[in-house]
Amino acid sequence: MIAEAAGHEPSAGRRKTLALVLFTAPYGNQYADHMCRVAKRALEKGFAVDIFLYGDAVHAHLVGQRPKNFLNIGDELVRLAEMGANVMSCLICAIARGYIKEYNEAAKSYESQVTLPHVKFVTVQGFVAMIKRADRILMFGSS
Amino acid sequence: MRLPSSEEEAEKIVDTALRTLQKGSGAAIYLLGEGTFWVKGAMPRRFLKEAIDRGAQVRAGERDLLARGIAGDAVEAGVGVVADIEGDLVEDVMHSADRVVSW
Repeated sequence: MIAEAAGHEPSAGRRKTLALVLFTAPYGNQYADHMCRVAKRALEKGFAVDIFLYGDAVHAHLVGQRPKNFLNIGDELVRLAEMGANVMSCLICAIARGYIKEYNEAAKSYESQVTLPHVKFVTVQGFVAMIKRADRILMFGSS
Repeated sequence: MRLPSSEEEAEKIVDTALRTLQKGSGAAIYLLGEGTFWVKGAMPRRFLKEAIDRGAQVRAGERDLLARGIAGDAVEAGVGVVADIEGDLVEDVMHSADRVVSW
């Protein structure tokens, strides 16, 4: 399901929002680990958290990850979503990497059978909307 | 979150903090993960010391230092070793910082 996330408007007394953008795939380095840990602490401290997976970072929401000795990033994303994080993935990046096979005409959405259902696919408009509502933005890794 | 790839890059990163200090604002540098090697490597450590001497707050994650075998005397004087580096980072970013730059 594509989430354009355009309707989130600031209002009096709203929680501050921290946006976290991940650029690298998990396990080759620790950027995903750092991102998840920062996200968790921010949620625990009562902040709203948006997470955006860009480029190779879309590999982070593949189902069935089983790292032997590393933090399981897929499990962490699920936990973060359950704690209230808004976890998004770049639609174009996911299509490019073969995660989305087809467009569901009936539902009018792109769907994947191999990615975590807790993560929403968004277009660049969704990314821009996230930037617009963020109070602070942290980047993890580089493309 | 990473070591600088060159002396020029280290200088550029620290220069961002130094310019902020020159303008009368505060500057804080957080070292996470591989970034904690800044306190040990001769080249980045030199730049870090300059930032500390000029008034920058430098904090390194305790868990990440220990994981890399960096402790005690190996940590540059003036670097704050923090148990909850992510928590401190969030507090600083969300409450204190006007601008945030991440590498």
